[in-house]
Amino acid sequence: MVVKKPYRILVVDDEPDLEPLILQRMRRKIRSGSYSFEFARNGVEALEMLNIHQDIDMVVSDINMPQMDGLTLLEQIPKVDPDIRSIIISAYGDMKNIRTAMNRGAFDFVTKPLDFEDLQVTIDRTLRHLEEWREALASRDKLVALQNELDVASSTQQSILPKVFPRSADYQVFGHMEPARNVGGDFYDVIRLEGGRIGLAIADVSDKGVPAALFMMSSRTLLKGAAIGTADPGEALREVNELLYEENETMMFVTVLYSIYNPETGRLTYSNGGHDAPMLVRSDGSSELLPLTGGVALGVAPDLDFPSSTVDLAHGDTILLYTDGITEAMNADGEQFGVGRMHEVFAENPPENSEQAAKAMFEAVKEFVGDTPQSDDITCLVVRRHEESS
Amino acid sequence: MAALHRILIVDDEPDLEPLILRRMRRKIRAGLYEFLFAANGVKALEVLNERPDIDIVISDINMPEMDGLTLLEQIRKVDPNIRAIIVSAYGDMKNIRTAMRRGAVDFITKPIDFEDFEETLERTIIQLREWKVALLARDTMVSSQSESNPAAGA
Repeated sequence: MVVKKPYRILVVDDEPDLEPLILQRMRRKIRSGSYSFEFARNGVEALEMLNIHQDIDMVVSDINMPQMDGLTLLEQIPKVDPDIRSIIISAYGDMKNIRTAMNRGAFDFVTKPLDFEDLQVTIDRTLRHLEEWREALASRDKLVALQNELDVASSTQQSILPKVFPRSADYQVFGHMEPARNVGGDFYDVIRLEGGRIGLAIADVSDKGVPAALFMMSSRTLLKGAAIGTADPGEALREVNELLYEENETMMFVTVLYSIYNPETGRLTYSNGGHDAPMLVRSDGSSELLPLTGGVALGVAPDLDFPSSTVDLAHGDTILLYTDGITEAMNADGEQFGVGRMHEVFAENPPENSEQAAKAMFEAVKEFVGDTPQSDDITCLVVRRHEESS
Repeated sequence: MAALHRILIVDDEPDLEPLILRRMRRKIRAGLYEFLFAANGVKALEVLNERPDIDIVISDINMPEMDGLTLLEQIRKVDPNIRAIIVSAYGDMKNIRTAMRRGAVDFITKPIDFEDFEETLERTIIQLREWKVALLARDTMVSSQSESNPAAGA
């Protein structure tokens, strides 16, 4: 159990009688460890004490004292520590001094002759207020730390996304991610393989923040390594899954759709690790989701198989890989964007090129959600086989 | 445009309203303060319920229907972030102490010294602003944590 330190209260008065009186009247609070008292004879001594004992929480001060009076002390205390709370002791009915004390930032006052019950209630009230204030300040500090952490995660995520895409006379690739305010776990990658083939990966890490960003980094590195070693997307996922599983103490997982496009034949081979099905959009604007291949998310279980499947792209066909940031984008009524609306995006306006197709999708999602805050990353990676040049 | 700070004055003396409006006219015109008025505690609570954007209540003690000391206890239930200042007779230590113990952040005395009135109001507003900034930080953190970890929020 954490033992809470007693609140330290500095009592400032030139009357020597006050010290034994307070110690006697407050003995229960002292014995129970709620309060501890320090004493000073005037403002100068009080400031010295505040500088020596930096853990003093509050000051209870008389007004009339030699060397430095209580009202001057009130002005000095915030310079030592603005979070120290002060109570002033005034003569009964001395309105002028009480008003001055309050306007100089005293939290409250008590009057002489001291009513110890009132003093204790006032001290308790002051300390309660101080505690609330400190909690709020601590939240503020934590918020700053959290924001720093999110910035790290966000820049890590951004740093791994390719910004330049392969293109040729036959095809064009384009990818984009709209990050959620608090950093989701999406990424995509474009990997140049032997024989002019292109590896296209899109993924969504289960968690968010710095741990997810690190998991994302290792997923991406492992995938890149595996991709270069094999021509079969399912085999690449199988290898990544084994490696992620071995080192995955955090029980995070990642869904991945990995495909290899061969520009020479127009054939796309893909394998799915628990990710959303790719969407094929024909040049007439009609579209369909490609059949899932049956694999589950990577990183949670060993010895899994990831079957691959193929689709032959006709000229003018477009493949969209995307994350659930699109399908689950929510509007103000709590409706999801859904696959149906994805089909609608191209029904009337067939894709012109990869970049335009991706942007049309982002536009449609943006229009659908309106002002509703984005809660997840939205990511889209597109490859399009050009129309045959006539 | 709405004023920066909204202050509810509670007093059964009708003279106070024009006096405050006249004394504070510069601040009102500058859009810093908006003053609302209520003639007793019951009416004050009605105004507070209608206008959740009131920051500060300055209340007299002796009023019909509901006095200022009772109002102090009710304000906390409406919104614990509202800051209350009590207006007492000069030297009425008993009521002032009761008001402070019931959570008033400060007091002013009658007849109102407008210099003290303004100083007290400004100090209260500064403290309130600091408090709200800290609260905002806390709320932002709570919401960002539940967003970045939906399982914990569910």
